[in-house]
Amino acid sequence: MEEVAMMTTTPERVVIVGGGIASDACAAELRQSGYEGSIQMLCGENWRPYERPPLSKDALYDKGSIEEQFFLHPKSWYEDSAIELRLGVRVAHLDAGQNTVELSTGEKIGFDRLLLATGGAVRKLRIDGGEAPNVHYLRTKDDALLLSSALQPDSNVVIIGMGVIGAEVAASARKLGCNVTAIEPEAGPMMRALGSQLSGWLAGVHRDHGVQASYGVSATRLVMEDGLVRAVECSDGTIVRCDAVCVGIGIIPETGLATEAGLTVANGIVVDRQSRTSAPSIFSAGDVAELPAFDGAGSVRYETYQNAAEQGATAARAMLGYAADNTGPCTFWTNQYDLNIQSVGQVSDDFSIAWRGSIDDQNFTAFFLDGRRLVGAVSVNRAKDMAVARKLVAAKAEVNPGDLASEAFQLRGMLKALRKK
Amino acid sequence: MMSDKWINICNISDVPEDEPYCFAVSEEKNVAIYKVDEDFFCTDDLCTHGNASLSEGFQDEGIIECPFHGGAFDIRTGEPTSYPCIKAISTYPVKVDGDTIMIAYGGE
Repeated sequence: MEEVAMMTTTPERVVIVGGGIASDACAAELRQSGYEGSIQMLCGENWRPYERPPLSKDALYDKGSIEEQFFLHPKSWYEDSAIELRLGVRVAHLDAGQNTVELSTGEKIGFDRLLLATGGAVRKLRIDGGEAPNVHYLRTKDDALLLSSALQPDSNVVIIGMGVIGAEVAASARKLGCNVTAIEPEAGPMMRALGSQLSGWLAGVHRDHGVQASYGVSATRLVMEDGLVRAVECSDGTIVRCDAVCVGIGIIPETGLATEAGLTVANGIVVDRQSRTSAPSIFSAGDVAELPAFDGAGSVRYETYQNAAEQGATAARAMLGYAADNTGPCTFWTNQYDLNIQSVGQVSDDFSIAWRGSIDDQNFTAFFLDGRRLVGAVSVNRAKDMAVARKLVAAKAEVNPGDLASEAFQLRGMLKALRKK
Repeated sequence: MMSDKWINICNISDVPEDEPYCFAVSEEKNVAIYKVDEDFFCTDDLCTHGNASLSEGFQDEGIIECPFHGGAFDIRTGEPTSYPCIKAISTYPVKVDGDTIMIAYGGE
């Protein structure tokens, strides 16, 4: 009962664990919503909050930019907003009964509201040699600094895993003049995000840009020499010589604190659409949080910028007792070579596809349909289609598939029709 | 700092509803002109997030969506309305003299 009473009082101390996009959005939204109490942001890294998306792209082209650019806000913004940034600190324990966190130094910090935005740790290769210094993983600025040094022109780079990160690094490495070989257990790149037809198309794009990719193949052995990986042996028996390896095989959500504190944890920390965990004063957002799926079918954990920011901002409003509902479909973007790819909603082989535009000209949109209902879309260099698709998918709109495929039909008309209803 | 002066941008017929118009006010800077209902507005053309031209984005009434990452701004105020945009975009006063759209612009 006491805990319920506490939630109705105005919080005076908000503690945010994590220094990523969800955390930053939460802190910004707290201030925007008029919250005047303290905000402490406990960041594991030594960098103030920054954008992760450029780390696999622009940051790799210009190593000097990594230390200087891609921050979410200037340092002065945190001071002006009275947000206490504590960098390079680790939270060791969470006590959900006492509403305290304890740092690895033993320091205890009490809170009225807590945000767990601990993100994830890169999944490591579970074969000998996976920790060698020329095996790179990419999650942080520190990782990007090391990787950018490794991507030298004419060097031989092996990419293990052609998910979003692997595919982006492959494209960046080609742009930097590296010889790139990619190994991916699925039948194509970004299969989980794009479905088989678009994955097949993207495989062709990487091939045309000179990536030597083997799909349906995994890395089975790292051939070591003087402490460095000099070749990767694959499940099909081939051996690829290399100067550097970049591994992108996903992340493991950092749920340890939540589990220790007895919160409900599944694949991630389970939250509702207000970013509330099973403990009344504790919220969670970003890559670590598992929320009800947009379509109501179970719960999902998204690893996207937009989800992290919106969940973080939603948590801020819910902490203060304001109406907050994070109900939109998932969206993401990726840039590879000269392609800007954007996605919304459900993209999978379970649905039929209406194609609009020209695949040959790399200017098209694939609309994913469940009967007449638009459930998802992927646009390639065609952002205006995506702007309409995002709104139609969010509205669970029914459409005429023939209209989607006809360039003579103005998509904007669907939006106007939707709003007239 | 230079004081603002009114400069001619374009004819009102150059800016249909929902079709932003891009204009170079200097070698380094473009602005975007928008028509919302019967009024005209002006913002910087370069998104404050990515290296994108907002006039190539999707205008939805009073909102302009960036073509690169789906972020958005309020055309009237410049305030960001969708992530990943978090920094407001500069706006400029607009007046219409006859059929000519002018903005108050003082340079950088």
